[in-house]
Amino acid sequence: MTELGDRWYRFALRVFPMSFRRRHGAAMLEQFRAHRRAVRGRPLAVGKLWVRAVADILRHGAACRLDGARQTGGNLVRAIRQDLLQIWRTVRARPGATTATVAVLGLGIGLTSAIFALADPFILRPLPYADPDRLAIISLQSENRQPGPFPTLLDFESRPDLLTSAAAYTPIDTQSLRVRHPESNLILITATVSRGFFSVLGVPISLPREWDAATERGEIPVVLLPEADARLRRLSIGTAVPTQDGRVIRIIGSLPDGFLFPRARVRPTLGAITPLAEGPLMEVRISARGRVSSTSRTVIARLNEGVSPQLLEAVLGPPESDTRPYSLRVESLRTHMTARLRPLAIASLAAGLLIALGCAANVANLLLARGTARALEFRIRTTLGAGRVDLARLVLIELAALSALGVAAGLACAALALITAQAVIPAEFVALGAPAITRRVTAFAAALGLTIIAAGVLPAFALWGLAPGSSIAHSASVESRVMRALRFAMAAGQSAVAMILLSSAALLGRSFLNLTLQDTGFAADVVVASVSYPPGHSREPRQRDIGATIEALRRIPGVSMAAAATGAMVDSSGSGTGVAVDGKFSLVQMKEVTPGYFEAVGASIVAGRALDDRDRLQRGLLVNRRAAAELWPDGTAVGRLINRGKTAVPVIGVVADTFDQALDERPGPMLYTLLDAPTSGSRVNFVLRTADSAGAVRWPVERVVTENNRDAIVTDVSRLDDRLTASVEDRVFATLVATMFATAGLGVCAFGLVGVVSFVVARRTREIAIRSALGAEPRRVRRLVMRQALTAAVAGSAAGLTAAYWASQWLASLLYRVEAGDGPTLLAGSVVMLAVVAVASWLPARRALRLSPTIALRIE
Amino acid sequence: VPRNPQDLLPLKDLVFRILVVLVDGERHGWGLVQELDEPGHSGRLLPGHLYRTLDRMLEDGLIEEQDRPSAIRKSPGAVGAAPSRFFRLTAFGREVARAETRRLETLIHKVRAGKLLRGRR
Repeated sequence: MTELGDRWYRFALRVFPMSFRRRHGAAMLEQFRAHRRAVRGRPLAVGKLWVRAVADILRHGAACRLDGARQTGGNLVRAIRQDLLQIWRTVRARPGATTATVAVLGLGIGLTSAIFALADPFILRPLPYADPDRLAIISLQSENRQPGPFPTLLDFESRPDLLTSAAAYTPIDTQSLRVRHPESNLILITATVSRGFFSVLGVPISLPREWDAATERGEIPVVLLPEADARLRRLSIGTAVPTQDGRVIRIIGSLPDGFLFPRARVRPTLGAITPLAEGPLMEVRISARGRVSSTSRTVIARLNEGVSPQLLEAVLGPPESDTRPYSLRVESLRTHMTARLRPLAIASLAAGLLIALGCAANVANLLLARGTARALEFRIRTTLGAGRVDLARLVLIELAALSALGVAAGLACAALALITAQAVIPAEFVALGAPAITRRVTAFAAALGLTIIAAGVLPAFALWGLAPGSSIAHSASVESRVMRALRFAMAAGQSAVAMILLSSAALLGRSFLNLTLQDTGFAADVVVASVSYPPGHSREPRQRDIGATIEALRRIPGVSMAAAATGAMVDSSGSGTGVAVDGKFSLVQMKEVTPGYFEAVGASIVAGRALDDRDRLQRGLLVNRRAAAELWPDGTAVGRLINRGKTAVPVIGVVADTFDQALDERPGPMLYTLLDAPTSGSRVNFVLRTADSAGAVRWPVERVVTENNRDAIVTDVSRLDDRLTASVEDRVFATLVATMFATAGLGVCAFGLVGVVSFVVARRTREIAIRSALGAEPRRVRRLVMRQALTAAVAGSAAGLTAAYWASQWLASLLYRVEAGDGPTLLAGSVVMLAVVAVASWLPARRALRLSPTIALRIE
Repeated sequence: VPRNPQDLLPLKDLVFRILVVLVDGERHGWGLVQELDEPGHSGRLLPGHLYRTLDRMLEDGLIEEQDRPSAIRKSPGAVGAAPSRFFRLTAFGREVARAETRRLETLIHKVRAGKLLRGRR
């Protein structure tokens, strides 16, 4: 019993720190025995003693440990300060290596963080509404062309078992408002919402009680959105502004910056919200000719706790019979707003993380190599009394400092990347909020930094596992085959990834050059002013307006030429028309232009002459080169006849092809007639040749246009070049992202190779020294240390090139006038890759040659 | 390093009582326990508390360890091994005990001069 009691007490004493137990454990046991002897024979007293003894041990043991921890804490701070000083000395001794490490870490972390900043709203960040996960979008589709009956909002509101609240809205009203603003006319594109809209979203804005019935009084209340035209936002709340059709809009509120209107697309830009009249959620109209047209409203609903969109669709959706005139689709608001870009965001983020992972592996490898090279230093430290814990701590602190610097560099790099990309990020990518270095992005970068620390812990543990007397270099030289194969695979894999990224960037870069260097057919200094004339305007006055406007535009200082045209002017408008040549039907684009148009835009007349006032009577027309080649493949076009409807019109000239649609859309066949009586649409583009910027001429142009027609609205004044660039924003953005990825991939790969060669140099220091001492040629030594890295890199690059050849097929839709898998481009990419590989393995190899045999041998 | 006894004041009750016991000469652990226990409450002081306090006092230089003095033999009939570790007061410990005594004395004087005990004498 005594034995057992002793054993129990000894076990309980473990609460005290080991050192304390060593000093006092025996005496404590002795004393406890004496206590037990004093109560022997009294079971109750024995029990009480044990309870008190355990409490005594717990209380004082824990206190003892706390005292110890406090003291160690103080020592630790001193030790860490010492370590930091040591690290600073190392950095000062080899600033290049540290800078390179931080730069590559920064590149990896920065790129991934920038991608995260862009992708976060589509993947993780909650939408800016109250409890956004409970919001759902219910949309109706017409079935069977039946004119009804369709449900109303009330039908949804009457389901409190499923929905907390619901509101109806139309994301874009079909009719835009032409507003007579005191400064200038403008077009206001609106969305319509029912009164409960904001309360469903959980946004603290209350619409007036009479909102739903407001439109009936002829005065339209509007609430301005943050994206509204600045001219409207400048007006104070309560201001009434007339519209061109005799109504009045009254600004009753303005939504704060950051409010996000819930819709799937970003274009066109919404200006305001107006009331949605009560009524069924869908209307189907069948015209006398049998043409069916339908308008529908969307329902936004807040679901009850535990109700999913799928459940709601299952309950409300399936038609009781096939005769139901509509089908119903329910999706979460998040899906509705992010579904299109979510896969792309996830893929980019995954690619970024892959690069960051490579970065982490490389840091671990490099540290292992450096740890090996620092064998001498560690041995000296061990001799001076440093324990394994001290060495591991030094490595960890070094790693933490490195990773903190890397995170800082990464955040700077991400900010720079976002600023650079700002101009070319397509609007839909920033629809959920402009990307910025937010707290979330900073946290993400820090998490990446921590991952890199975690990867670096491996070599720290390798040091931990060493017996103090053994040499680290020795342990590395008996490196297992598995480790060696892993290192080889890592270098090869990174080279392959870098090669794929580089090839993609090269193809996209070539495509981008093809886009920007091609002859668009237009002069460089053309400014286009798009003007919208009111519908229902009679022909005669408009012709007069346009003529007078052109005259007035020519008088603006700095403007050398001016003309006008209908149809597309790199703004995705324009229409096709059918013509017949020698009985053969063809579809062509039409453009009506004023005399002087070709001169104004810088398009050259290739054959015949340009249009002038003579053609008002003769009705001649011009064709572009493409049309000439397609319609008369075997001869000259000038003098031939084209049948438009019942009249035959002679071709009087051929004009060079111009990029009227987009920079990446090859000009199609185009016919030019004189802008005599504009018939197609109410949109006219005025083109000017001016040395000034578009911004500088905007105001005079607006003045001139409205002076000649008070209802005309200037919707856009911009350089033709800018419109062309904007027309390929998807490609530009893709190219930029690919270039960023390729740069990061190359950097990481180069860093990895430096790590591998450094490791070889460190591992074979003794061998290299002996070889050098015996007179080995530097060339041979270099080959010795570079062989492993070069083999891995070349094998990886070759595999990467093959993969890139196949992978480039996916890029095909983004490539312009360059084939996916284009030989010369891929070859150029390979040359760059090999150059980087060569430099990355040569740099650390130099160290092997500079080794002094005496010092190197002493390390062992 | 010479230290000022005032730095350690006021002493914890147990520390002071141990010092007072050791003024009379060295003691082993169990001996201390027996002397420190208040009458009628034997076995109150348990090893954890005692040895943590002794450890602190050793560290502060108030007491020091001593091997079993030759004069002490295992008393006939006693159970268990004779205690091997003894503690005795250091010169610094003695100074600290004096300083604490003076502190307490001053305190008592103050209390006596005040109203607390007046009328009860």
